[in-house]
Amino acid sequence: MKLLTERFHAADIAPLVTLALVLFLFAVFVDGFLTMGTLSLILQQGAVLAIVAAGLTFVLLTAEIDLSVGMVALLAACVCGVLWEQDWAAGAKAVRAKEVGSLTTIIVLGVPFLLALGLGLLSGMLTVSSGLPSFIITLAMMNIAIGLARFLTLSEKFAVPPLLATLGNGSWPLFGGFRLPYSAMVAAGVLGLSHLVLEHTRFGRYVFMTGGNREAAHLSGVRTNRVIVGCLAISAMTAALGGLVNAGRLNSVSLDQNADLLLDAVACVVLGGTSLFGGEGGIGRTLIGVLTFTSLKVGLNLMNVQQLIRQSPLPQSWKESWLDATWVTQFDLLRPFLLGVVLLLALVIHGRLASKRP
Amino acid sequence: MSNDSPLLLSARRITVRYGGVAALSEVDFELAPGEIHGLVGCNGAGKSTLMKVLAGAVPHYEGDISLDGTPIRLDSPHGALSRGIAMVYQELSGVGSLSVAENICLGRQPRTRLGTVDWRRMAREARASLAELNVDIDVTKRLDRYPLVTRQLVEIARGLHSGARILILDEPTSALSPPEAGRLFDLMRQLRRRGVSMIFISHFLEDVLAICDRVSVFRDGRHVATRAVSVFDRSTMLRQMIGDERDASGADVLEATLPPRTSDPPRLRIDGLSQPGLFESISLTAASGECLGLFGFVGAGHQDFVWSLSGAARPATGTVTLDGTPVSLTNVRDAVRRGIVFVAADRARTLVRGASISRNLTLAHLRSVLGAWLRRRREVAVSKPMLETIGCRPPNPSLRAGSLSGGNQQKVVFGKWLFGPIDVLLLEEPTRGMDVHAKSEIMALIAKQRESGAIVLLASTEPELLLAHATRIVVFSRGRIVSELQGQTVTKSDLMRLAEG
Repeated sequence: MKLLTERFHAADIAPLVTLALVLFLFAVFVDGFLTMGTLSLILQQGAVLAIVAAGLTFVLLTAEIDLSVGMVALLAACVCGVLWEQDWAAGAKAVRAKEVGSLTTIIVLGVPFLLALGLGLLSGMLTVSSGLPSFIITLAMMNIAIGLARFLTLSEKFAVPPLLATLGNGSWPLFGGFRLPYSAMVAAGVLGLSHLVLEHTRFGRYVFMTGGNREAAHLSGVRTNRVIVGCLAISAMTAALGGLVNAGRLNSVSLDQNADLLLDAVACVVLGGTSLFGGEGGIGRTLIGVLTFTSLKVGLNLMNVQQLIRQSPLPQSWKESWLDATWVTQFDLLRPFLLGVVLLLALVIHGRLASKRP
Repeated sequence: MSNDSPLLLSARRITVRYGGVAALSEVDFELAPGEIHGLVGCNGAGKSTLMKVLAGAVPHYEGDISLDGTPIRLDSPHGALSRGIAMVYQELSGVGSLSVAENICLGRQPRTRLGTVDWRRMAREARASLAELNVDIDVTKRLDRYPLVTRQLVEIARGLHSGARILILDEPTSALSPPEAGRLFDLMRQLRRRGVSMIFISHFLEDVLAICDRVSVFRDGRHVATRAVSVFDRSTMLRQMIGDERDASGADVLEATLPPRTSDPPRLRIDGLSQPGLFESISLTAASGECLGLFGFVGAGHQDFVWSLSGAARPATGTVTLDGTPVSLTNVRDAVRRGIVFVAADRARTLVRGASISRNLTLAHLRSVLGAWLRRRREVAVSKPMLETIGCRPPNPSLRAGSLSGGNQQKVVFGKWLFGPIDVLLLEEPTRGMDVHAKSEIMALIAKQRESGAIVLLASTEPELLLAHATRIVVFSRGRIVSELQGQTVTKSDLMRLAEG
């Protein structure tokens, strides 16, 4: 036990405890939470978030931030949708979708990535050359991305290539009622690759050291500016992938997608215990953060308050008056509030534990 | 000063301890009204600590302080200021991005009846308080648009505007040209006539003798003597600052005989290196195995000079060649490839404290040490022998670097360069804030590099360190080289005298 406490500080295991607590509470209080269906749902809903959060982890580790991920994701999806409806691809409303060659599909899916890469590199280079915080630069980039998306789509709704739809919705029946969503497999691939890069390559090491003490890294000969540009480029690429998978999941592209993606992804990374001040964290933690966040969201959605009240061992008169109350009949509207309260609690506790680290 | 004149400020038996070490022990200090009191001593003599106590910045002091005969306790800068004690710090504390007027009125801006800032009155007040000092500048311009001497005057005006009767000036002349310093002295004399008392801390004994009424000498955290300047001269003062060689502690070297110039051809040539405001036309050559000591007081430019060679500072003009090939001064990575490595004084700037010791050790030569695919086990395996070599305690590569003591942290910073070639070793106060034992360990590591052929450039403000380790000493003063010593016997007081310029 002593050995354990020496190697792991309370702040390191707190995110895991939070995840376990969330799962335990939902398992006890929400009927039908402990099913294979819920697991598939969590995996599918968490996939997009995990892809985006993986890239964002790089950025947060260098003590920078990328506020453009949500809108870059949207822009990538929009570009994909618009290209798909060009005459050389599937045409208007994707009439020829079945005849489109794989090369065309690759172009339709590849161009959004290149565009995102360009935007990410641009944010990075502007951040390091201007000396302004990435907060400001990527805030501007967020507006540029949403402006471009609006202009390209003219606020219309677009279809997506069938490959994306399969990727977003399809799943692989494994056993019993459990189906492994393809999107979760993509997310696992992104997380795995990110983990290897962060833990086993020089670039990954430089990311940690640049975030830990930028001047010290610079004085050791690390080209910290390149590291930051690289991280912002990675984050833009994963954002684009997340946007495409999400569009596939919804089977269409429209401007109302990905509105919450940025803040959800930041919440996931921080919930996992990666520091906003850089140098501390990793992909394993981001995975825990994503699972906690998605479980919370799915669990809250499955929660049936009326039933909970009926089953509770409370006096009958209380139950009746509660069942008529607005907070019970309109509980749907309260779900984001509860999500916020739980997030706040977890983040404050994690933060206090981390500040006590020796 | 007659004995019966009332004392404005008197401090009795002041002791300040930092973690068990006494920076100041049982010091007495007195300041009379309308007096300019000089304070001299070597680095670490305790003069700055005493001034910080008087400015309210060291609330945990022991001892008694009284002002106009009333005992007071100074436990915050605000408290000191409200009792009329204002400090002008060596590193100016004014806010560069605010206007001169805002700086002068900082914290007590005049208000209109609506509660908003009364800009017109503020400008008027600022102009008036500067006019008293015969300074006529546009008070609505940003402070950082003005030269250093003006900023210092503004700083003094700010102190006076707050109603200060005691001004503490910490090394005000170290960055000033002689005419600028003369202007500052005129101002100080004028303030003295108005009854303002001043404490003047300086390394420049000429300046102290020129302006002060009395001088107090400090050494090793103790008060040595206080005398009127009329009965004091430079050599006595220097002797008291350095201490009698007989009672000096054995560890300190106060005199050294430098070897004659080596016949080896120089490998490193520095030609006319300048960085405006920091140092000017520095030219030096050095051969293999030399330890070139760069001595100067704080702000003399020798430390900025080694920063510049490391490639981490703003680009300087001039040329630097190593083995006949020019060295880029703008890129740390190129410098490291050429074997030009730098250890800065401040570990907060050179160590990733939150990362493990092994990660800090391997950071600079990651590819050659660990290859393309980083593995924890291999990293620990290469770090362990290196920790043995540098004598790091505890030799556990997985610990956070920040958990080590200062000396061991510095060993790690130094050890990271040992994984690659070292041709030129640039050092800025490599042993600052370390105990004697850690100091000698670090210097032994450095000596080993020198013996195996590296050129060592050791910039320091501690004469003892240079006398003990340098083979040649270059003295800097106000951004320029004032002398180069080799093949002769040099004493600490020689260095102090030369560094005054």
